Amino acid sequence: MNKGQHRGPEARPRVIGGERGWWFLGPGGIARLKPAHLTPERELRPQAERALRERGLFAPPAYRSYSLTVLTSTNCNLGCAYCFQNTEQDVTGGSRPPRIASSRLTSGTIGAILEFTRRRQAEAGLDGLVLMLFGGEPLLNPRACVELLERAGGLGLRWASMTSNGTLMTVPLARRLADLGLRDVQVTFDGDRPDHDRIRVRRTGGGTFDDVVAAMAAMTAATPIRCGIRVNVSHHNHEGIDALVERLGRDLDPSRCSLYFARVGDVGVGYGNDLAFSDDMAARFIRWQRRALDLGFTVPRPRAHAPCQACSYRDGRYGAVVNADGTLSSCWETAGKPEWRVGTVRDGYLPPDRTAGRWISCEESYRYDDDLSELTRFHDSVDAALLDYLSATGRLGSGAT
Amino acid sequence: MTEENENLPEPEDAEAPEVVAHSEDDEGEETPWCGVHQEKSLS
Repeated sequence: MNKGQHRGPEARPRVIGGERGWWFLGPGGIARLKPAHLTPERELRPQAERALRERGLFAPPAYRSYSLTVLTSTNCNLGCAYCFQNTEQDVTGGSRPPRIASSRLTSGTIGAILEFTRRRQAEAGLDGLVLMLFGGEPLLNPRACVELLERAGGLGLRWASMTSNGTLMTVPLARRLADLGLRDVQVTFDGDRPDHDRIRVRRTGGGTFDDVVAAMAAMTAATPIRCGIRVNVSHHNHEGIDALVERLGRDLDPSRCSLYFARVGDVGVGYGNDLAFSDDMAARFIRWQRRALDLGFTVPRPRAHAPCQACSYRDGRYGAVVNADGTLSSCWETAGKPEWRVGTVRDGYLPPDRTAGRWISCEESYRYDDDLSELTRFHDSVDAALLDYLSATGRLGSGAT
Repeated sequence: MTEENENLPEPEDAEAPEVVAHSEDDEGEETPWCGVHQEKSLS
């Protein structure tokens, strides 16, 4: 079984083949290539590379903001069997898998987090802040979400996001959070309603599809907050994804939502994904993306391999992930797991010799039965087809994908 | 599009690649974290 790759600080361009040519995805942007720009090995010829460098496509935009992720609560009201914060499966077969230790963000810890952030911003020369409210379910601690946003305003908060299961969002709370800078909420669907309601279940039992849709529809109608929808694709649910896209197009306002389809690996909690990275599956992903665009959803534009501000830099220079108790981890997936702790906001990061084995990036802990080259081929073909379609429909270049 | 580029010389006056998007177009939209793993979900 393969491990995922470490996401290092280097931005790596991609060259991927579309229907009528090649696409160059660099850290500084995207270009369309002609066959004469490439060698037979798909390497850029020197003159083409010079031209792309001169246009800034090899240079990533400079960081302006510190990236801060904070878990406001490690608890969750759902009991999804695959969550990486489960410590094992529910041995009774129910919907209460054991999770990481319970912790809840307090005013005192918010103060320590913001002091830590102020120091790190100064050391990195960054005057802005981008904040991710995370959990568990962050809205199990709405007071801390509000207080954190209020107090982060003093650190140059540029924008804030939240990763939530969506079930606890209300219109009054959304209005308050929007006023404080929350710009988008990411929720996940685990397939069309029947599949989602079987997989994404409350710890007390019962599905959540209709509640999530209703909450996101109300939130986007009442506030400027956008909804980012992640669709988890697995062998359990892929047959229903076409119907899901249609249903979401009917029940939500697509102009206020983005849609992203993900097929990711197992981190070892005993819930693998048998979905193959086949040409047939790539064709499905391509079909779903095109239909989402036709319905008016935004689909995120493919990118170069870019570093993550939080986990790619081993000294935490440009970002941090903070658990509700103030402990630091290198990435979202190790947050709240004591054996992966790399410091605390009160004492700072541990010495490098003590964090070396714990500083991993999110993708690193995934386990793939598949050949990594097959994974790359799958992503390249799906991404190239998306760029082809964005280009053919006049969506590329305007930023309005 | 598979073999077309084989053995093609690089002409001095070759047309430059066509830039269709700059990353700064996305300023404020790009997520400063692992963009493809924005959820606590794996399967």
